[in-house]
Order: sequence, then C-alpha cells, then structure tokens
Amino acid sequence: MRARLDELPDTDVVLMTFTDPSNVAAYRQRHAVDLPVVIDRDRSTYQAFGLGRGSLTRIWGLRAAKRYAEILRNDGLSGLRRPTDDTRQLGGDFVIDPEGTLIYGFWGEGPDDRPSIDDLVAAVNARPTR
Amino acid sequence: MTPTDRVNRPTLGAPAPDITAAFPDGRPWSITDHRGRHLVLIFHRHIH
Repeated sequence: MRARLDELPDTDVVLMTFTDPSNVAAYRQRHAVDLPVVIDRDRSTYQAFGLGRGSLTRIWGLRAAKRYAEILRNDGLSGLRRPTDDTRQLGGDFVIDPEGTLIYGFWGEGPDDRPSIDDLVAAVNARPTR
Repeated sequence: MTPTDRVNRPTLGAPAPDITAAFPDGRPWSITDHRGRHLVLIFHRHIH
C-alpha cells in the first residue's frame, strides 16, 4: 500500500490511532508500518470525522471469529494479544485536498472494513467534486 | 438498525474538520500541517 501511495505526487499519508504511545513502536515493528503515526487519546478526531463505535455483534461476530481462527492456525497462541484499546472503535480512511477540502471518505463498519488502495489513489487523482 | 455511537459525518466537498493530535514523542500534529499537499488520513481501529 505504501508503495502505491508513494507514487502519488505531493501526497502525505498519516495513520491516526488512539492507543498509548508506548504501544506504537511495537506495533510498527510487528506490522512493518512505515507511515507517520499520530495519536489522539480521547478520540475527538474520530468523533470529528464521524467515526463512532461498532456493535458487539459486528465487531466480535463471525468475521472476527474467522480472523482469530486464522491467527491461531498461522501463529498459535503467541499470535493473539490481549486488546489494549477499545475494540469497538471504528476506523475510516479519508482524503483531503491541498486546500483542506474533504474529497473522499470511507467510514468502516467493522474491524476489517477498508477501502481498496485503488479507491484511495483514485480519490487523490480525481478532480474535486461536490 | 445496528446500534452504534451516533456521530455526525463531515460533508464531502466541505472543509475537512480542523483536527490536532500528537506524534508518539509528544510533538504536536495538525491537519493544517499538510496544507498545499493531498493528505490520506487513515484512522486505525484498535492496535493489537
């Protein structure tokens, strides 16, 4: 993903999280995250972008069970970690143009609900729309 | 309807919310730091 976004001229990519700063270094190492990470502990930025919390059934439903079964199968118990943050907090992906206009928004409805990288690239390359 | 915390979504085509945060080392960050460039802002779910 980073490689695709790096191809875009004059574009910054930032990862927003709400975890404790002490968790960030280990996360970056474990997942090879090479993006700038910023932290909003009280999640006011999440609220500002319309990102609330998902239902228990959506967050911990069948899809999550399948995901954790996959982790167990691939990594065993060592692949599982006790959640350190609000697991119901939903995420999203947004594109803001150079003038500060919000030109693309994806509001995730579950832990694995993400837009395609093609959608993000297209949003950066698109002409402003209303 | 699936119950969720009800929050208002910002409008596409309107100014993005003026937000601030901080880098892990405490340095301040603002969305306006990226004015003049496109910004792809990824709001992560929980980190584990």
